[in-house]
Amino acid sequence: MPDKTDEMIVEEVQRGDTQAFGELVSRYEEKIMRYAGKFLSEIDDRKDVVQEAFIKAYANIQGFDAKRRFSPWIYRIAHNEFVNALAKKSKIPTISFDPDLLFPHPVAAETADGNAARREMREMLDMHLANISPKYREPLVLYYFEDMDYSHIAEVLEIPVSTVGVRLNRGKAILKELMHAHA
Amino acid sequence: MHNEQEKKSLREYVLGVIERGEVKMRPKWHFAFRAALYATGGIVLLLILIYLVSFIAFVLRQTGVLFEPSFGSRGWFAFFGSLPWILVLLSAAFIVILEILVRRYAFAYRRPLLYTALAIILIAIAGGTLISQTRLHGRLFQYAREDRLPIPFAGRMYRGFGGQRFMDIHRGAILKMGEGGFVLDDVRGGTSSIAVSPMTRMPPDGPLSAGESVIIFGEREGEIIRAFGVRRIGSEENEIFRVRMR
Repeated sequence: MPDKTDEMIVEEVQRGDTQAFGELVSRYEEKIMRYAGKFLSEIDDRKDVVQEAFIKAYANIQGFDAKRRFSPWIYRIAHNEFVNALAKKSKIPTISFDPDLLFPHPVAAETADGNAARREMREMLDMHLANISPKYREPLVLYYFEDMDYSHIAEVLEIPVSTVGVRLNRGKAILKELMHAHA
Repeated sequence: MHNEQEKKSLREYVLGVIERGEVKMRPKWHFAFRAALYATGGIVLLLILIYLVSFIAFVLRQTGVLFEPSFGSRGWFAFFGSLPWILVLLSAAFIVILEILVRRYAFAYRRPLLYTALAIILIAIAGGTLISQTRLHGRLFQYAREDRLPIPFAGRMYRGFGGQRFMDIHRGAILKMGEGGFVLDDVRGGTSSIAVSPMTRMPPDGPLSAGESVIIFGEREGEIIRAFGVRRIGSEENEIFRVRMR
């Protein structure tokens, strides 16, 4: 089914074609595993959580509106699974209030980083990822590793687009500080 | 090679779970029902919030507290001291719950929290003000005073909040104008002598005359109320004050 869009395949799954769901798993497995790798250190945990995310996606697929993009939807499910997995491990309550969500921010223009700059940022991120709080880590990972634009990230994290810009800029600043500290 | 094998195994594992029936696809109606439940819950909460805001507006008018700010900084101070804080806090709690409920929808999470919170507050104030203009609360208050309100706790609530007496707020009609003041036919019953001094903030729209409805902000000293300020009540406001306290 290489010529079919994700949304077309979802419609087939919704009509009862369970095999078609296998195609969606194949398309997103690597991406979601990579995304999980930035949050969960143990490989076994990662695999379990990703499997659980796909199973949840199947169970809830009738709730997906095929007029919308499938990609943010599956990433959102994965995001929720990672948050739950991390909360179980750390036993820290996940409900928190973020003042960044309260006020409007000017929407920062998306900068078109060159390939070299992007690769450099990815390397820096890989080195210092563990030292960046999840609040800034997640948009950075989605932007630099998953190549998502601001609106895509906003859909996954369910936050305003302007907040994505704020978090990315702060995340980059933290990353630069970490680089200077380790230089 | 290893990656290819892992890929196959995850796909096969997920499909295996589905085929063995260990996971079931939730039917479409489940999501429609859940969406309807959330929407109904949201509407019910919003209606309760509008009712609460309209009740606060009624209580403020009924007790005369609403007019205190028109007497300057001293009036504002008294106003904040006399607000029905329990009702205000209860309304704030409803706003928070509603905000949590609407954040799950794309139209809300795509915007800053402040915008949705302000939208909820504006709808509640507009709806509450609209309802408070009707005679709904006045009638319910009347029924409560006559012990004819069939809703549990509502009678106590209306009598408790609507019948509050504040030491510095007095309402009624001018019975007779006199030297240095006037006699007030108090809505709570009886008459009071109102002492007016050059320091009293009098209505800017002309001198008072007998028969007019007024609200007086001032402390009682025995039989005399020393007026800090006097405000005329317009015919529309007076209509709302129809519920007398006698």
